[in-house]
Amino acid sequence: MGVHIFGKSIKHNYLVRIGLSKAIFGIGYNTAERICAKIGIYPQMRMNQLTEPQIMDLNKEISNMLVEGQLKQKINNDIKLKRDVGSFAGTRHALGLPVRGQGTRNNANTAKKLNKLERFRI
Amino acid sequence: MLRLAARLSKVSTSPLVIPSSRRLSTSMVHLYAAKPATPAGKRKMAFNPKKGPQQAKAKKGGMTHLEFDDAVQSLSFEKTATNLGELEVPSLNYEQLDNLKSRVVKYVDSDERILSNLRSFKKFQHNELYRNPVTLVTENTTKINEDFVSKLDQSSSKENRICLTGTRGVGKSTLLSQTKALALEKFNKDVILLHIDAAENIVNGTSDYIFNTKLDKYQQPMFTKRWIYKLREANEHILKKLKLSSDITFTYKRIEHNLKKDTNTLFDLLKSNHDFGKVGQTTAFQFFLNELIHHSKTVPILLSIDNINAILDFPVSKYKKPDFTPIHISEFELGDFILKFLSGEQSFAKGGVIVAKTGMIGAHQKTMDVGLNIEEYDPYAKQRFFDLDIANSLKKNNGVKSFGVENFTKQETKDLLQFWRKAGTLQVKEFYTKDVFVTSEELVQEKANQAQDQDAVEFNPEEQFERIVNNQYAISSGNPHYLLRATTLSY
Repeated sequence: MGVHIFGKSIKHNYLVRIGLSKAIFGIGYNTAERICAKIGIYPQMRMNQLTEPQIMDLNKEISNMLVEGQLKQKINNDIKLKRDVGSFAGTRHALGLPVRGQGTRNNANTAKKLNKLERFRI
Repeated sequence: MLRLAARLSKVSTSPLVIPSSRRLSTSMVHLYAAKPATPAGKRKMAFNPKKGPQQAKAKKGGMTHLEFDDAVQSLSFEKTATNLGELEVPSLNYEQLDNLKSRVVKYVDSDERILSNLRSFKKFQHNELYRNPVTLVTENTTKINEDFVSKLDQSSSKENRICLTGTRGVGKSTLLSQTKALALEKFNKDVILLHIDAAENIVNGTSDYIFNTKLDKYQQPMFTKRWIYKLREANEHILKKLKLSSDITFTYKRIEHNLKKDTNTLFDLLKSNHDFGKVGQTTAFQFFLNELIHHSKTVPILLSIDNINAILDFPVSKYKKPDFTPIHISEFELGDFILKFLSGEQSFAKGGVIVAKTGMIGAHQKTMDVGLNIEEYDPYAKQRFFDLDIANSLKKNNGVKSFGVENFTKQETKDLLQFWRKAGTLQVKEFYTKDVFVTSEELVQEKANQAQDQDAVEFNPEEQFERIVNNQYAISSGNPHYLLRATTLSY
């Protein structure tokens, strides 16, 4: 049984603050705790204990934030902008190499995996 | 060589193997094509018609998934444990306390039920060893009786405030239970017990919380409701006698309830008023508190809190305000209630406040030590180790008295072990440690002598018991927790 928040199904026995940060791109532990504090959800509350109004409040809070597809789009646009203006960072992104001065003799695997012009496919 | 030539001729004719310079070897083995190795994970299992299709073994369920301390409590071993009826264990009696000194006692049945309702028996006390919880009447018991229980009906709670301190496992929680039992016995159950068994539950984020704008405090409906339920169960006898001092109206399930002054009782209030657990602003707890203060003129009220350092040494809670700043203990309705009664700012006309620290946490915290005048105030102390406001509140109105709980004396240890021996918890067997140190050669010689002369060696259980007492007392230095572990939990 999952609890649906912001279109995501979160396992019923997750703590709310953990479940939010696991399920929603753009929400980490700290942000999740901040959202819970704002709505008045106690720290040890679990997903299945949420009431209908609390779920609606969570949805409302999250929908006002830059998360999921919009955040991914923004990241893509930022990389694209760097490439378009011809900056060094943009070039490195395009080449799939580390952006911030890391060495490339060995490793650089994270950069090879992630650094592309279109980091997230939406 | 002939054999090799024959083999080579075979190899050249075989269509499977292509001879190459690398494969050409004088060894016979290398001339055969290697069998492809079966991957370990994809081994085919042949169907055996005799055995039939192989079924997965059904998992055997264990007794419990819990760890030892929780398991021994949840498995209810006390139901099959030694019955104390055969051992003639006396009950804890206020009048006869001097005669019961250094004796193991049980609680009177009704008291035991009340203490059990208040969750006074904790899991790490290993009460499952016997059918009923037992306790040893020690010097501490007589001292707390003189210092605290005897003053319950003579002074206000403001003048009767005590904090039990001592090392881990010394018996602070047990002494708290004994105090409550003595109070029940002294007043023949006409005493109200307000007991919080784990104060950390106020601050650890396990209860819901809402802000009450009228009180300017945060309320914890879930915690308050559960606590009130325990109080109602434990104090039913006395609460049914006490009439309300003012009218109250509340709504439950769209039905309006009116409780009348001098007609309805405090028990009726706790039974029918569900506002304590209402997720909304309520003054139900304040009303109940005012009633208690009103009735404290006639009935003594004992407020006891265990693990108090969990809130006084760590006053910043896990709860957060909407602006993400943490909530201080004094901003909670219940936290404020505890602090006010502990500082003497609010008081019951008759009664007392007794709190106990826990040795499990807060070894480096300074707040309580400074508040109880055990340590000097350090102006450079860091905020996370020290809260000046709380330390000062403990010092108000002549301060909370520190009561150092002492370890068992040797005689008390002996008496306890004697009881354990009688109950079968302690087995007096031949013991391999010696009073005097001997070399290995001497030990071998002694054993050889024993083998030769069997009759000369006699096992004396009394001497052996005495030796066990000395040994266990030395190991535990009279600390009940370590004594229990050394004697009964390790074998």
